[in-house]
Amino acid sequence: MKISLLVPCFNEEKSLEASIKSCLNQTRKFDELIFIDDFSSDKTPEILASFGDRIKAYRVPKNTGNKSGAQEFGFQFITGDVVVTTDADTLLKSNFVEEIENDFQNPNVAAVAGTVKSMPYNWITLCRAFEYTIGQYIHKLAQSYMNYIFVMPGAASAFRVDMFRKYITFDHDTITEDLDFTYKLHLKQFKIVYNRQAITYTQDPTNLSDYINQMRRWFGGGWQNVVKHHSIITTKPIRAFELSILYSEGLIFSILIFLIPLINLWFALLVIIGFFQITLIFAIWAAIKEKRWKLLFVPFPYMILMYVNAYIYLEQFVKEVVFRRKNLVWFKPGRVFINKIT
Amino acid sequence: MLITPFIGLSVLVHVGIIFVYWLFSWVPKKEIRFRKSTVLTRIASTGIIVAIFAIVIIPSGLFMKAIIIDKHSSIKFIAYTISQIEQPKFATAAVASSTIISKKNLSPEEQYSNPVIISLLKSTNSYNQYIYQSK
Repeated sequence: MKISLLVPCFNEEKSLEASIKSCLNQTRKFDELIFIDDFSSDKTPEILASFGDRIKAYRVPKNTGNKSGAQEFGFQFITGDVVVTTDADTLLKSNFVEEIENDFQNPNVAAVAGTVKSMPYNWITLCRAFEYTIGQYIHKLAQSYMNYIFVMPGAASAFRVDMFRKYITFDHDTITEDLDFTYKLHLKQFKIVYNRQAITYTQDPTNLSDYINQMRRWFGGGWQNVVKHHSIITTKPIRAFELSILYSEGLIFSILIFLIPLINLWFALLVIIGFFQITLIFAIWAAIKEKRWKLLFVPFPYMILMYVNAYIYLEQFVKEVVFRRKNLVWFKPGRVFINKIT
Repeated sequence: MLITPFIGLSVLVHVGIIFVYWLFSWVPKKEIRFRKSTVLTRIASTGIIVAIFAIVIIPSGLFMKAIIIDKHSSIKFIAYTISQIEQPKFATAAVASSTIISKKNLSPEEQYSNPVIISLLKSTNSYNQYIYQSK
């Protein structure tokens, strides 16, 4: 089995070198490493050139403006049977390719979703690490048991190339291409598996402004994909269950946590204390699971981010679903040198 | 990408799914075959969507109603709801906490005439005992 790697890069001088090294330093080597420079204006081209013929680097003639544009450009150069897609701010664990290869030994498997972990930096990345732990070790694990993976992570996914070329393709009409790919896979009845051992470490926003912009992209893209693939909800009972519980909970409780303080402040306080206690229980579990003891303190900042998330969730619902103002402008968070955060 | 804005009901549901899966992990699993959806699966799916929306919307609606109608009744409302699912110990604890939290410092006579407490005690089969103790 020939395994290719596809990494789009745009102004990634702070993280690219470490990322490439992690891709080269695999127990089972990639057969082909393709990096697409999306017309970067920093030292990205020089860094790519410094790796010589160990990688293949291509430069897009004009900036595509989003990740899926660069991925589509890069896809024409892929010659492998399986393609791993990740980001230039992401490090792969040394056994990543080995794990992916094992999953694809099953001929029914069309795609593999890996596990994403957040590199430690500050309180925002701590909250993100907490969300990843819950999202993957609870949500995604349960989804894999139910045979319905909600989303393939953009930083840790692998697809069969033939299947991807024939059925998935790039539409560029939503801002979260990973969710778009996942919905298409489900609509075509392809099997997706979740591998907890195929781990990547990604760089998340380190300041609140970048965090808010990224959440706008994620939640906005989430609503765009629900609108685009709305028919998927009624195709299988398990999909109906998963999608309706996630979206209805998000919508209704986001409204409630803003509405309750306006009606009864005392009761709002009780609700927040209740949320805090539930978050604390999961934070203790996450700290033990990840052996990252700072997670024990995560409920304090998470109470603030909970309101930020809820506000953005409602804002994007109104923009994307009610007014259908489709935002396709890509947001790229500021990078930090990876050696500073590992 | 994140799938819900916060740690909430869906996390608890998914924890439940994981436990159920582990509990029945010894059962031999059938090979899952992916088939095209039929009219029946579409009807069943729509039913599930409606049911989940009802499960989430109705309690939140009732919750809001309870808070809006009487600003101090929210805790009692929870107590009453718990009592309706016949968990006497929880209900008794909830009555006690609701009385304390609402800071009304009810006298035994006032408690005796309080309709919420009476309904709670009745539902937990403690009404006769309560009257006996009060006397």
